[in-house]
Amino acid sequence: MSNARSTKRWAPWALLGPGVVWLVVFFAFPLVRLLTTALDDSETTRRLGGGGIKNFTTIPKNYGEVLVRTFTYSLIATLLCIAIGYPMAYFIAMRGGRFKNALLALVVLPFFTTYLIRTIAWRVIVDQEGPLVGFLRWTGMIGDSEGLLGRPISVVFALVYNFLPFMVLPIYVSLEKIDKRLLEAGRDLFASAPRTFRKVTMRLSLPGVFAGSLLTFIPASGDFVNADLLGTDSTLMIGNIIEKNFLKEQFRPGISALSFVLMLLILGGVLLYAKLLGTEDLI
Amino acid sequence: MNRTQRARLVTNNINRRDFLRRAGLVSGGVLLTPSLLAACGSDGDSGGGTNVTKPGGSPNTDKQVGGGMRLATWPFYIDADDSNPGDSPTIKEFKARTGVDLEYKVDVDDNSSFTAIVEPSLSSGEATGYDAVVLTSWMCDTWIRKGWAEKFDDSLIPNKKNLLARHANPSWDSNRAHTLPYAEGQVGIAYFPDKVGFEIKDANDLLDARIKGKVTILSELRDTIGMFMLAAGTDPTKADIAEVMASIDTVKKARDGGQFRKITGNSYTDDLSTGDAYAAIAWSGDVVALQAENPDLEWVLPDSGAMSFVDTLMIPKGAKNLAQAHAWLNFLYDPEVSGPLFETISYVSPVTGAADFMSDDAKKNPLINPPASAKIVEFRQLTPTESEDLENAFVQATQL
Repeated sequence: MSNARSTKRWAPWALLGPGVVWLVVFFAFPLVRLLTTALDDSETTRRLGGGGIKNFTTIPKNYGEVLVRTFTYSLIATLLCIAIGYPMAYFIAMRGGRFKNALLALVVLPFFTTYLIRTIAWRVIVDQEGPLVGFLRWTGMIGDSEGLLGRPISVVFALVYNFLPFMVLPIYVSLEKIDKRLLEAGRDLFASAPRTFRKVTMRLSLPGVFAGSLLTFIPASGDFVNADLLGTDSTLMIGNIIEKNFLKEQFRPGISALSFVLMLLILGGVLLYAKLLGTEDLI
Repeated sequence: MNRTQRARLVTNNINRRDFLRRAGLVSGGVLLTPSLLAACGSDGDSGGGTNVTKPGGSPNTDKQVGGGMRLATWPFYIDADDSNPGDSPTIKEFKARTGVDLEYKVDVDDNSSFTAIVEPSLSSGEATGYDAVVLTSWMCDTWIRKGWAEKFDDSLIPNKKNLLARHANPSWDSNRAHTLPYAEGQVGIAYFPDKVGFEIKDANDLLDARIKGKVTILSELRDTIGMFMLAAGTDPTKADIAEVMASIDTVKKARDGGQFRKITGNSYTDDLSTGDAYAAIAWSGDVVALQAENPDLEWVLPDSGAMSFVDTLMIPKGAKNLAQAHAWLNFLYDPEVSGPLFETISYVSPVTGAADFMSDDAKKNPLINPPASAKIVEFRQLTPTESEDLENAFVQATQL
């Protein structure tokens, strides 16, 4: 009897255990280490213009421009992902019929190629001799000696391409589980199709849009591969700065502080977004 | 150092390299075959444990040691595909001469990050698992200072006498007690004369307004700033701090004006081969590969001088297979081994007489055998404080 009761009491903890241990070891502990490194006040750090809280206060001056650029790129990429991904998900969920699974498989198919190769493939597309540049030159949209590689647009479009499935899938899930009788009810109540969409479908799919935005915006903000392979010196993102310098001992405190700030900014942005969208539950 | 991050990027470039490697492999194989046969023959005649006689008649100094060792090195430093080092004629010959199984690991991608990985073992006095490592000379200096490099037993490296005189006695490792160069690379300028439209003589010409946004420079303090110092008439081998800062400032101003397309370690080769960059501060090893596909690409060693980097062998403290590691060093310093190897990998050999064992084409190739008149210098070894300050200024100037 008492055995059974104590099992009952411990069962939830035992179930939570692995997850909690995982979080402590691989999230909480590294986070604390990152923070203590970021607050490093050694002589070297001070000589390089930082030290303690100064590692944080110098960030706007040193990295402000790159941070703004990073968030601009990821924001545009996220919005484009919504613009492209929503209709795609809508079509699959509402009009996919028996092809639904096949269409979903197509969305996920690019993931069978590694991220790096997909990004390098973009180089080929936007290359000087590539078909896209040839077409744009033919239409006169860009000059004969101009290219696309290295422009912000190449970086942003590659971000969109690489993260689009992360937007499509959550939106698909939220559209899929909408009770179709609600749409019929909307029509029965004399709402036009666009109005039904606005008032019913869109509202109910917002959690999907929210989840998709997170899955797109957060990794895009920390990404360095796209800017490295497709950008130039003037399209560097914050991920590039972190990637280039974190392993150099003298920069580690400053870069740790930068990583920390990046994390806080993203968290702040996400909370604000949740408030604006008025959604608490993900999907 | 990002010099070899290019290794993980699968691009045309690599295919080209692959091709070169294979071509080199064939020629290297042909060159080494007689000595391989001789090695086998003499093994049969006299058994292990004795010196092996080469076809030329001069006995080499390699001894049968047996056992195995593990080497950490950079990509593209052996005459075989990095993923199949077992195919390397050099490694096969090493096994034949010494009986040592070399575990060839392309584990170094960057001086700092490799050091960061083995640092915990080194500072707690444990073995790193490597019996020899190849790092750039400035990082070797740091290792020696921290007592992380084994002192050589010179009696096991008789071929050390073949080291080129200019490498023999660096200020940071007198008489090469702990280090021996593996390969030397040159830092010069590569450009397309027809696209640039004028002759590039030194780094200052890279700042010309006519090629704005079409220039790439390396994200390496010593390589890039050294080139600009030479062009400005200051001396990187002495590297007066104020003079270094002046050149960093030159680069910063040019960057702010949009002169540079990229400041990078690896992808500049892609930008050159796609035609997005017209001129670059470049590493000699890359230019050999690039020229195979872009014969118009010109290589310039400025009269004012060019920089070099020397990737250098060390035995990490606590290494278990010391005899084997010494055998490897001795083997590499045989000119008959070094010649064909360096012809294939297209870097400058630190071994006297290596050119005698190269083809006529390679002997004439300035990328592999720079003319004696060329002024090629190494950046002064910086103290840790100087290095931190200058790296900081360089990052501020080139990234933020």
